[in-house]
Formats: sequence, structure tokens, C-alpha cells
Amino acid sequence: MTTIDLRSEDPTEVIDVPRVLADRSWVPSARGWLARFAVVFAVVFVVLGAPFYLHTRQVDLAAAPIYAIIALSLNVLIGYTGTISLGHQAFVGIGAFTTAYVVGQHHQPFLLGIAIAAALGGFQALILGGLALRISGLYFALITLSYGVLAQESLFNIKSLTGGGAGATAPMPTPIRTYYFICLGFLALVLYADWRLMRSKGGRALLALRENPRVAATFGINVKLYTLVGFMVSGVFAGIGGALLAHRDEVVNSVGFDFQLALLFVLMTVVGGLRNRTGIVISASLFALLKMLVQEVPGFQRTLARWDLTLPVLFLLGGIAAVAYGVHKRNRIVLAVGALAGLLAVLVLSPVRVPYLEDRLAEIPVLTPERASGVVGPVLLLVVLTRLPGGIGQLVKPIQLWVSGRRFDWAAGRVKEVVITDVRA
Amino acid sequence: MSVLEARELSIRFGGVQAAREVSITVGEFEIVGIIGPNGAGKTTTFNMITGFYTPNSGSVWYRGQDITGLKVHERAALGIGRTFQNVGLVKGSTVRENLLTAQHLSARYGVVAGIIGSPVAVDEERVMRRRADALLEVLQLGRLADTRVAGLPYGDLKRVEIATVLATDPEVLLLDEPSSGMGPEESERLGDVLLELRREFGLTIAMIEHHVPLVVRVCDYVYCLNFGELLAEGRPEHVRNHPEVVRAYLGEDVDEEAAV
Repeated sequence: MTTIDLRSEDPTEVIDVPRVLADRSWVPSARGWLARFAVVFAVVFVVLGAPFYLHTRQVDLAAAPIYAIIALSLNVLIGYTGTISLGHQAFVGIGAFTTAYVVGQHHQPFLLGIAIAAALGGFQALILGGLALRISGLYFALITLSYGVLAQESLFNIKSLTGGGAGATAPMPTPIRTYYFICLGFLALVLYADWRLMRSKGGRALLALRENPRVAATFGINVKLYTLVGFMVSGVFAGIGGALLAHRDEVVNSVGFDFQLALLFVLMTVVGGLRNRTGIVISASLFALLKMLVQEVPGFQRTLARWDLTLPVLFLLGGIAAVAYGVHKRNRIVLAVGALAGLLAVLVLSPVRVPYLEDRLAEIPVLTPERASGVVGPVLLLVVLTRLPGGIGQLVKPIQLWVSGRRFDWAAGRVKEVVITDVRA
Repeated sequence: MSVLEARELSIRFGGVQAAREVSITVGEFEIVGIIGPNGAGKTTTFNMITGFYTPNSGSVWYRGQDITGLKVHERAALGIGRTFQNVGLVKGSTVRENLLTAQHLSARYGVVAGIIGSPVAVDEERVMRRRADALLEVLQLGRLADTRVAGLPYGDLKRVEIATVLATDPEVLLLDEPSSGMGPEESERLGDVLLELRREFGLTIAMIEHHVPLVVRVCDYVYCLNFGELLAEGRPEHVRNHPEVVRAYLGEDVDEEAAV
């Protein structure tokens, strides 16, 4: 076939190929490979070895792969399909109660429980997806939110199915140490499915219709059908995650599936970085293990518990930083605000009593490890939305590329801003 | 027999009659141009032909089949491909990924097969990838294959868009201002490209175009729209010198010599 010249002869058109991609000929040295191997080995050691060196924490640890599965499920909706779900606790809860019913009440095998949970999870997501075809944007978010609350209040309280307020039991199928590895196995399965999906026509159709449904339609993509496919996949993942969660807790109760849980799910997905599997897994693990981290890392728990001391210290540090920045940039307002914050902090910390302020500080409730995620999550969300649009995934991407044998480049995988098409309005 | 036919399409948006009884016929292997001032209803007509808008009256026919009731993706499956005025690409993906996405219809495997990674799906993906690379090679865009669309300059976007719409394997191509953002020399070359595309891919083309020299050079037949109505039609030279067309483009008091 002859070539058809569509090329521009305009020499000013410089193509912005990322440096890392352009540099294909570069190969790491033997020592470079060794360093990469060491990093991979360390990660594998931390993940697989965790239940052995943290043996008092095995129940907590199992939450990490489970939360990762749930976050990946939400990523299919928010990241790929572009519709938000604020009722994901219902997706997860349906999986949990299903397996409790199948395995706990009817004594069927564990794997059958998971399979039915996955199927039902997919089915209920399909119904919600049908609504998403008619309503979008904020109103759809509102519907998912209501759906979550509705499911918690009604569906999860049907006595014959869920044990009503008393909850249902879902026995752990294996000793806890093995169970952690079972959860890891399911996470691997979900990761594989997600990876394959995005490398096949289904995933590409989702990405296209999220960004521009009109263009997707001209490519011959049935936008409605594939929106439903996105919901279905998300529901199946969530069903699996919920079932695993139920068997970890051994008791499933409707009280546990409140809106706060849904919010936590959304937070950990966005903080991980939409459409970035590694970032999402890391972020979800972090949120799942936050309580444990708070308790295990020396001094962390005390810092959180003594807000009346840590807050002034934070103010002092922030004030000093603001003053330095103000001087450097000759910004009087920043300087003044920083100085004021610093002065207040010093006053509170000094033996001099500041009557009003110190009373108010003393009123701040003690932050328990259980509540840590409620504070850390929103703070991380703010950081991500303002300073780090690619989330944790953006930070990990250069390391991933480096491990895969490329030259290290901090700029790789950088996301400039939060993409507005992430959620269709 | 005509390949694509719009019969007396009319559509009204609120108080605005965006198109009134617009009839357009595109014959096999023809290149048909649609010209007209801004707001004449050219893109609206395209949107009715491709199915984004449902006309209030009139019908669209494709190879003797009434397709007025079909959805956009169903019309795409029949072989109607189109480009957009503001570039119809998935901007977050690379150029190659766009060409793969565009081959959605020719990928003969299901979503589940894709997720499991069945041999059929893997094979099919390999074929699609090869087709995408071949197409990029033919259009001399191979160097852009791994570049993200979002960072490309406008001229390249237009080229990549043509490559992408070709990947959908169309029989009829609807191009919405293919030469926008190009200089006079570039649009001259675009004319060669369009003629070659027709020859190499056996395409039938309908295009909205402002650049009149390009239209005159490549088009077999031209329609001129103004205020949603068909003003004139015929051979390019004929339409170009049509007094109504000249008036629509240049205002009332200009002599015919100044036209283009």
C-alpha cells in the first residue's frame, strides 16, 4: 500500500513525548537490576510476611486486601465509568449478607458464598446502573447516597435474611493466617480482571464513554450498554469484597454499613489516584490499617490523643513556615497571619494561661484510633485534590517505571490537574 | 444508487429553525462538500445524519434503508464514520489506544472474554494492534503512536482524528471542517490526502468545509446552506459563482468577481 502523507512540514510542531518513553534504548546496569530486584523482594516480603511478624494483628491485616478490592470496585465506577457512588456500603453490604445467608445460615461452602455474593452484587449494581442512564451528575450521586441509607435501614434489617438487628454470622473458613492469604488471592484475581478489562475492548469503551459519550458512540460503542457493564463489574468486585469482609468479621450487622463507610470507600479510592491500580491498593491498605498504625507506631496514638498539645505545636510550625515564606516572597499578609498563629501557639504552650483558648482546646475530644480515618481521610483528600491530582498512584508511578527497567524520572506519570470528566455532570 | 441520503430534514430548537427541509444526496465514491456561513445548520445536519439529533420531520436513508430511527452506534455499525469540529478523540489515552478504541466494532470477542483473557481475545487484540500500527504507518503518524492525545498540537489532532475514524472501518466518512487550524499549504495537501483516501480505502466522503479552494478542488458536488435552508447545490464552480451564495458569504453589495 502506498503511504499517504498526512504529516505536517511545519518544523515548529514539537511533539511532547515523555522522556522516559522516548528513551527506549536505555538498559539498566547489573547493579541497577539488583537494586530493582531488592525493591521487589522487599515489597513481596512486607506483603507476604506481614502476618508472621505482626501475628497479633492478623484480623486487622486481612482488611487491607479486602479494602483494596472494594476500592478497585469503586474505581471502576468513578475512574472508568465516570459515575460516582456514595452508597457503596450497600454494594459491599449485599455481598456480606449474602455470604452470611449462604454460608452461615445454610452451611454451604465458602466459595459458593463468595460466588453468589459476587453475582448478587453485580445484579443490584445493574439496577442502579439502569437509573444512571436516566439521571446523571449530582442527582445521581444523591440517588446512590439514598440507596445506601435505604439498604442499611430496610434491606439489611429483614430478619429472616440478615438476622435483623442482631446481625448474621459468617464463620471464617480457615485459620486467620491462611485467611489473609485467601484475601490476597482474591485481590490478585480482581487485579488481574481489572488489568485485562482495561486492556480489552470493554475497558477502552468505558474510558471513551466517560470522557466523551458522543465520540464513543461514533466509534460504534453502545454507551448505555457499556455503562451497565461498568456498574456490573463494579458490583461483582464489591460483592466479593463484602463477602470477604463478612467472613473476616464473622458477624455482619446492618449498623456497620453506614454512610461513613461509603465515604471512607470514596476517600480511599480518590486518594489512591483514579485509574491507578497500584496507588489504589496502597491507599486502601493504608486506610484499612490506619487504626493499627495509630496503635503500633510509637508516639502516634499519644499525639492524636493529645490534640490540646499537638494542635498548638502544629500552629507554631505552620506559623514559622508562613513567616519564612512571607519574608521570602515579601508577602505581608502571609507574614502577619503566620506571626499571629505562631504567637497564639506560643501563648498556649507557655505557662501563661490564655483563659478562653485553652478552655476551648481542652474541649476537643480525644481522638481514638477508631476515629483516626475520619480525620486523616479528609485531610488526605484535600491534599490530593489541591496538590496531588494523581493521588498516591502519582507518587508510585516513577518507582513502578523504574522497577520495570526504565531510568528513574520523577516527572513520569505526573497528573497536572483533577480531570473534570472524572465525574460526568 | 445513492449511498447516503437526507430527505427534507427539519429540526427546530426552541424558536430557532436550525434546519428546514434540507435534502442531501451522497453517491458512491463521491466527495460531497457542504458549505455555508456560520450558523447555517451544517453541523446540525451532520448531527441528524449521524443520529445525535432526531429531526422533527424528514428521514435519513443509507443504501436504501431508512435509518432515521437508529441510534448513533447502530449507524456507526452500518459504516458511517464521522469527525468532529472540536476533534473527536479520547484525550486521556494515547494515539494508538484511540485507534484500538475505534476498532470496537471489529473486535470479535465479548467483554467477559476480554476480562478472562481468553486466547480469542488475545489474538484479536494482536490483530487490532497490528491494524492500528499499519494505519498509523500509512498515514505517517507512527512517531505519535505512544503519545497522549491531550498534549498534541491542533494540526496533529486533526490528522490523528482522521486516522482514528478510518480505524472504525467506515464506508462513508462525514468530515466536519477537516482543514480547520491548517494553513493554506497544509489544506492544499489535505486535498491530496482526501483524494488518496478515497482511492485507497474506497471511501465516500461528505464534508463540511469553509476553505473554498479546497472544496472546489476535491468535491464532486456541493451544497450551500444558509439559515438552515438549502441555498444552492451543484458542481463546485457553479455553486461558487451562484449569486445567492456570494451574497450569503459576502453580504449584499459585493460584485461577483470578489467571490472567492
